[in-house]
Amino acid sequence: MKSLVKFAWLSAGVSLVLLVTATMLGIAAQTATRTGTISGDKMTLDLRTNQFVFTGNCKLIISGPYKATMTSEKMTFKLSAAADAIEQLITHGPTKLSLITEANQDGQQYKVVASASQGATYSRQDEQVVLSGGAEADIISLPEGPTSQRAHFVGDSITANLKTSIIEVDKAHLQVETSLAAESQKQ
Amino acid sequence: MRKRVGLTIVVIVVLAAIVAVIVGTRLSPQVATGPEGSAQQITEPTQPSLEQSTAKLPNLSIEGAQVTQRDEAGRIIWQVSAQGQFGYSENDQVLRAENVRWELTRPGQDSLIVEAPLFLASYPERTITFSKGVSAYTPDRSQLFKMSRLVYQADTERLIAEGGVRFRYGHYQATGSRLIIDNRAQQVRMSGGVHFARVSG
Repeated sequence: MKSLVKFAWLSAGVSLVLLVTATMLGIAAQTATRTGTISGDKMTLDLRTNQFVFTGNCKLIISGPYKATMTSEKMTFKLSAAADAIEQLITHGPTKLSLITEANQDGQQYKVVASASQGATYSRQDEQVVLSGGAEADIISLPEGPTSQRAHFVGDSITANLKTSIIEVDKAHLQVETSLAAESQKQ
Repeated sequence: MRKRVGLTIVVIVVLAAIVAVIVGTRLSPQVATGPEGSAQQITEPTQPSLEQSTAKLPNLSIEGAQVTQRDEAGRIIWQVSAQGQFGYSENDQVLRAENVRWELTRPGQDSLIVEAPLFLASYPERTITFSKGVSAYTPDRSQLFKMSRLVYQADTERLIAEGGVRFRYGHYQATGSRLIIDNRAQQVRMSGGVHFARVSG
């Protein structure tokens, strides 16, 4: 029999680090090709500053061992000096992030659906996305179904490390839902 | 009787000679007096040369298959060379050429080179239209553009591209339906379902 179960409230000001996958260090050391594509209604490149601005239905897709999709009405970014990589991308206003994590050592993958009202920052060097302002995230174990483990976070900001699959929530309020049946079967 | 016949023949011959002289005179080139009293031959009217036709256009010089447009200070604004001949329509004030290489000088930034099968420069509209498959690039090839049609607006110093526009910048390529290269603002603006992705090579 399936059912629910845990609720936890964490006090404000406390930073919560949730290890979504077991140990990703070995996997993180692997080299993998990641490609980023951006689409939108309009694009402006300022040739003096080499800054790109996308507006209208903007979508960033990062594909590789994981798949991350970020949507917003406005995105700005710069390319590296060699113009061969997106260094840092900033979204302005309400932003949504969808992430399918890399499989961990047990082959488990997670789906993360997050949002924020102020915006988000993607850093290529750190391979992480920081969602700011009224951030929320749902984490679901895959394959998604009635037995999936689910967690819901609310915080000031949420940092999703794409490389290690660690989700960090600042000033968090956490709600976890899991399946006893599923857990007992594993044992 | 014989005398009358002889006289008649003489009269006819004389009249024929007079008619021949008159007709001959009319058909021969006219001779006019030159400014210093020298005789100048006025030839049959011919089509004016490109240099003569475009002489009224400001700051435009034509040498062989190359046309150069300069500003008031004599600085080159653009220069175009063509594989074939330039044609100029005096009525429309349109300069036409095929298979051109056009170079636009852009103060403060690299020049832009445009290659196109068809070139039309309209002086009344102050525009240059490139069509039939256009490519444009900076000399170091860090910026590459492909489009069906490109229009240069002299007044705004903008280049407007339409039709399957591709913009290659470093290792990335943007595609869309319309692009504006704003030389004053030093901006490239694209619209119409823009897709930006890394490309190999």
